[in-house]
Amino acid sequence: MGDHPKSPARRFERVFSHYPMVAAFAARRGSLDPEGIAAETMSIAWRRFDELNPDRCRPWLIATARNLLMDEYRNRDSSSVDISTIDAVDPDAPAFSFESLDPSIDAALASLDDSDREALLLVAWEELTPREAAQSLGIKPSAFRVRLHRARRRFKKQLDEQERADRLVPLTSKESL
Amino acid sequence: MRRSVTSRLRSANPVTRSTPAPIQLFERITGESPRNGISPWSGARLRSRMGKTTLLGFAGLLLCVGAAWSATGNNPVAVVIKQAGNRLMPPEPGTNLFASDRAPMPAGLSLLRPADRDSIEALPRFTLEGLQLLQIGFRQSDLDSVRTEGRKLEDLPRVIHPKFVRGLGEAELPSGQAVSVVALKDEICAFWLRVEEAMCGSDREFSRRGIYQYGDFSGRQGPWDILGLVDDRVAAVSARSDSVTRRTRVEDNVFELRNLPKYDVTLVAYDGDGRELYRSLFR
Repeated sequence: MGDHPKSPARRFERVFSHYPMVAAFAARRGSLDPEGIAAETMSIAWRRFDELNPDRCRPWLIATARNLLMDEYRNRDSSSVDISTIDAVDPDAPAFSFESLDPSIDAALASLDDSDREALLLVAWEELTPREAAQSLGIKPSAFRVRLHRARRRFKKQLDEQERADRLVPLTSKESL
Repeated sequence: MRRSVTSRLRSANPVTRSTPAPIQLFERITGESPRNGISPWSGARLRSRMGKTTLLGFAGLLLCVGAAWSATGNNPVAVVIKQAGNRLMPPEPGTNLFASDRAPMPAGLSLLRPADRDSIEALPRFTLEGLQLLQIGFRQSDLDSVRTEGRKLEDLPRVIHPKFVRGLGEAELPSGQAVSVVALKDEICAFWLRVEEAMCGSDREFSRRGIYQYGDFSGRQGPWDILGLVDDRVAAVSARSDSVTRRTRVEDNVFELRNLPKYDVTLVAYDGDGRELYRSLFR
């Protein structure tokens, strides 16, 4: 089945080549098992291969991995949830954790709301085009561009404020930290 | 701003080393048949034809590039890259918006007033920036070349298309949320200023069922809201799910419904007599 260049298995290789990207996406969003998320995403992609364009599947893969990641977060918290406090009309999606290499970047990202942060990270870390990122979030490209623009502005403002604050801290107190 | 923000973020990327794709996993996955049993030949003829067309298009493009280079002395590829760089430096928001008193206002949107230069300049900053982003697009000839010459969309130079404004309107919701509504030449856009969200739809889309944004605007992964722009026929809307029903009257063509579940919400629009006009499902 898999030897012919046009066979599904051979065509699926193009989808499967994104495995590292999906694993990296899950790792960046704080998954405890990024390879597991990537493997499950690929497995779902194979089951639904007839709906996928192997050359334009990155938004679909990211969206699927995001859903799996939400399940992982929900399962992680499930033991500590008080059922009586759950509002039936408000099944909150968990906020993903993240940790970059720069604490000031982390602080600025943490100040953003989830949709702004995701817009920034999909473009900067996942290196999706705005059109792909919009597809992965299920919104129109024009709406994504507005969201990305807003997110960049807020992120930069936050970074600038932090850097200003850092400059105002006396050297002695900085050293004592 | 764009370059510095993105490059700073990229430099702090916590996962730069890529995990190799395990070949055993590939073999295990593809060892089973895909759900619908895809034929190994499905689409092969079409792709073959597309491949030939792409090759021909690419050859044609190379010829054109060579001819243009020899005729003008300028490397067309360098020109394209330079143009692409220009898209990082758009002009001041609002400068490419023009009032048009000839285009008819959209029907049934009494919130709108005719636009002029002053009213355009007085638009909130977020609205102007959003409108500017909508102006960034491609030349039609370049878009055609995607089909005829196999060029990639992401490689095309971006250009700013001037937009003609038919009408402007502003409203405020009971929550204090201000909304700008702008009717452009071929679409209608609403800008929700507090949450800084924007949405647009064609005249046809709008007149059929209004235009909506559905999502989490709290920023804290809270319940979801519907923000909506509807025509004058709609006097009230309700949002129903299995567990909750919320209703609101519609003033000035805009409304918001808050604290909704994330999935399977049906929005129903009513006229002034309480008759259902249409419904939309969000899932």
